[in-house]
Amino acid sequence: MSVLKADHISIQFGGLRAVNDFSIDLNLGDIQAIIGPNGAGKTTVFNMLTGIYQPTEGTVYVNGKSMKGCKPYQFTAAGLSRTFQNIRLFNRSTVLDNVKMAYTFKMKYNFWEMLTRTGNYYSEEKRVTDEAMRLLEMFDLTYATDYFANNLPYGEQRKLEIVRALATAPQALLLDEPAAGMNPNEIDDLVKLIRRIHDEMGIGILIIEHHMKMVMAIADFIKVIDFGETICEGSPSTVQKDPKVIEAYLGRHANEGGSDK
Amino acid sequence: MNWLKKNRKFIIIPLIYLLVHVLNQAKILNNYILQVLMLIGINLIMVESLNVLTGMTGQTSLGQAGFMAVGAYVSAIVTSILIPAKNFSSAALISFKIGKIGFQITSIPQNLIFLLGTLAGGVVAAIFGYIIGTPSLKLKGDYLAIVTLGFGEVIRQIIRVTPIVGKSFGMVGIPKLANFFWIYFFAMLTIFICRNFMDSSYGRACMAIRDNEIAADTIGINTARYKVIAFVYSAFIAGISGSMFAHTMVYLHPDTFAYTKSTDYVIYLYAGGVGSISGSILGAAALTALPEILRQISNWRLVIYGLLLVLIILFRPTGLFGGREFSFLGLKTGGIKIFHFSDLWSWIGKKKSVEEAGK
Repeated sequence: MSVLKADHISIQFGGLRAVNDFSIDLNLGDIQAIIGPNGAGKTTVFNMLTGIYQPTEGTVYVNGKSMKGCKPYQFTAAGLSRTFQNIRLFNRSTVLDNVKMAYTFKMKYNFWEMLTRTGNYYSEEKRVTDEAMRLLEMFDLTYATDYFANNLPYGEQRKLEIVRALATAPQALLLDEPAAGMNPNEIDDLVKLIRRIHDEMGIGILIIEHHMKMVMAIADFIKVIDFGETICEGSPSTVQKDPKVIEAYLGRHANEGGSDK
Repeated sequence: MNWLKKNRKFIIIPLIYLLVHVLNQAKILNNYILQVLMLIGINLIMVESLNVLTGMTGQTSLGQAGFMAVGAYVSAIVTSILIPAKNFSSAALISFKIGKIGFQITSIPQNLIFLLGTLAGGVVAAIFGYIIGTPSLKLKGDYLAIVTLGFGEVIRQIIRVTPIVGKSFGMVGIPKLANFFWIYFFAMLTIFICRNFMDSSYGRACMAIRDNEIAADTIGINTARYKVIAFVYSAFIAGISGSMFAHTMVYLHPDTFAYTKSTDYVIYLYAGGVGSISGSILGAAALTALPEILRQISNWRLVIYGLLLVLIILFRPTGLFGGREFSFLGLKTGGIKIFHFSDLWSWIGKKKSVEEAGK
């Protein structure tokens, strides 16, 4: 079942066509990746898929629902969740609160019940705290529930951001360069984490990544973009052999010289 | 007994009131000190209102006195129309004595009218909060501060030319309906509802917006909606504070609500600890009382006041209370260090033992 579909989307910033004619179809249980050199337009694609930018042409569908003109929070409510290249946590809140904040749009009490603490208030708060704790426990973050988010080590901050994204119970999870700035050990842990999310939750995962080894290890389907154009797509082995991809990454004559083989 | 222990914070609140009342009756606490306490209460409500907007939601407001002015004038109009000056009597309807302490209950209809006026002041201020909050959704930081600053000044200038509120001569003939009881009651109510707000999905959504608006949006928080809620809620509380102010001072002048008053509240908030309910209480109490305590050194008063402010900000950038919260508030949200009164003793004890170890 298709959870995230983009139908020939393009975006224009003034005279610059940042992304041209991009399409994607992400199903439940897929792990797909978007790769490309710096400035290729990967993050712009992500921002269009999550509603931060409105595509000038084409439409994004989440769970079959057209998201034309929708705000990012509506994308999340429709079943989409994302992380950021530069970590965006709620630094002045605790780890537990960071996760609890992601349940806001599903709370079942109104303003008056909140002020007077009647109705669903206590049961809802308890439910949310329990669910957040369960999620933190699942990803071994319980030791840090009372820490401020910015006091966590870098790798753990990444993990917390993913946990927070999962708290919205998405069907599609979009990870923007999750391995940026990580050391090889942390990357290994991250690969295991993404595999675990994939196996246990069965959701669709879309990754932007620079780290080739990691992409080749986990993605089933890869799209390569350069200067806003999709230059190649297919399985990891197809992409690796494609001359256009090698040209985009290494320059025009790299595959002819053969000195690095 | 267990029930008493569990609900002791709700028993302590009326006990504090009784203590102040008894001390006042026994002439230990004179009316001047009582007046200062009332002023602390009014400022406390204002600082809590600013804390919702600036501390929790991260929206800078330099026009909070504008909301206060709206609340003050609207409630004053309501009460002075319903209770004409010649009909107003501050005489007690019922007075009784327990031991040597006298209690007085003034006319019940008058108190109901006062509550009605306060509610009207709060609601109209909230409407203004909506009017100013909606167009400011796209503005951040300094730009928003300028818009709110302008709003406060516009309100003041409108009052200056409105005949029903006495133009720039000021408004007279407001019945003196507020007393320590009511101000104390509303201050406690404000603390209570602000705590409930902070410790709920609403408060968490606001804090998420403060910390990172884009991330808040992508985890499903309708940032525009919650910002407007924060504006309206904050303006409502400021309006209530304005009503208390009007019915304590009995006389209102538009210049009372100049931008300096707004900045005063910003200073109280930051000195106490922005984002913390306890910090707001402490900031309002300490900085309202400080000029009164310094009154004996007349000319040097403001110099010392300013100097202390500089020292507070230099040495305690997170505010006097450093983002802590009193344990009796029972807060779970906000990434807060809890302050237990028992910590104070253990802290003193620790200092002593360190000194002893040094010897």
